[in-house]
Amino acid sequence: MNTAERRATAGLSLIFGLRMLGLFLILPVFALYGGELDGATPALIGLAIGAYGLTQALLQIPFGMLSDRLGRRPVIVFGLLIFALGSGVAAEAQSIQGVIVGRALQGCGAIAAAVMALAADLTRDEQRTKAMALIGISVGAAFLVALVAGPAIAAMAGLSALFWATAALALLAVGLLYLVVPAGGETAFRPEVNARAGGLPVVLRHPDLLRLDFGVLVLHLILTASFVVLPVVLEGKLGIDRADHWMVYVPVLVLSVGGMAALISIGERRRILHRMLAGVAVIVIAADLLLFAFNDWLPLMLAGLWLFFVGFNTLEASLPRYSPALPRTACAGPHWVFMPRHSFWGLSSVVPWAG
Amino acid sequence: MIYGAFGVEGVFIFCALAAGLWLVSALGLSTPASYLKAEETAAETA
Repeated sequence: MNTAERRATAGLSLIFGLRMLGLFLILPVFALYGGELDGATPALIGLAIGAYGLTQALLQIPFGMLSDRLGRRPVIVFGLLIFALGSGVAAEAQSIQGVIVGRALQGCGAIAAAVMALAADLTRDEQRTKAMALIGISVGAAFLVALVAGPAIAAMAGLSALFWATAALALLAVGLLYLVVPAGGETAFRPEVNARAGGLPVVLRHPDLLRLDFGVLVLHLILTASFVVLPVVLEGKLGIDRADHWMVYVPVLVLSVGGMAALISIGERRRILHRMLAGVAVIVIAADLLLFAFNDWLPLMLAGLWLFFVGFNTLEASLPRYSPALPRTACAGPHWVFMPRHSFWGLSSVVPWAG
Repeated sequence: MIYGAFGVEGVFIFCALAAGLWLVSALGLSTPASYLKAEETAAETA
């Protein structure tokens, strides 16, 4: 990578990471603290967590297309500002309904596709995979940091402070966009990056891509639904103080990377990665059955959680390896390949309101 | 809603059922083109 590519990748990874950190910070604590809001019920707490995903799902593709026309930076800044505004609304809310409105506003800042497209604009073809991988790493790191920082901030200063922290992170990301990411370099239209007229229906009908999207939908549905109840299990059934929940999440998450690496290595070596994805579904079923049967016994509950994260990480890491094999003509490049998936992430986030 | 009606266990069972649906879907994934190409190359070499 040359200097400009390094700056672009570092800046965009930080922006993406900060944005995701703002999202993830809420996840491990909202089920516990949300109950203290006026009018809170389990269903409304789930809706507050998922409202973000609903608006995100609706706006991800329009924001991506808008960035093709207006330029990436204005769309990214606009999205980050809306996210910050939504965070402020949620922070000041006294009722669960207010938080739901704030969370829905947060989701309106759907910038993931525009950030990915800008990363593609600012890197050469041969460096693009590296740039995308670094952005992916920033998301993983954000998740890890959030599991530690979320419970700590909430225990010290409450839920409101957590939402204000997410607003501050979004504003910091705006600064990074102008201070770190090199100006210019945006491509008006590049077939392998931008949307092509009629491309979306083709992608939405592609059987393998739909199967992968469904996998991502289910996995993120389970992740979000689990975080509606896991904090309750840790505090209520296992007696672990809410400020110490990170001591459970972080080691399990770190150790799950070993399981993921082993599965992917076997899958790649034996060329059975596509079969391994079905195996991952079996792992997740086993994980949930363990969590169902032994959620009051810490060792097996930890085993279930570890299995779930092994499955989750394996699918997340496998997708980029699997996706390039799909027909380029159908996908019209990473723009459409990734955007439906982001939308499904969004949809999957909204479904757990049912949980 | 599931948590409200069936508790923590209900949510985990719901998650397991969702993963079951995904298993059915994932079984239909076709072999990636890169694997097919590698198999062709190996066959040609042999």
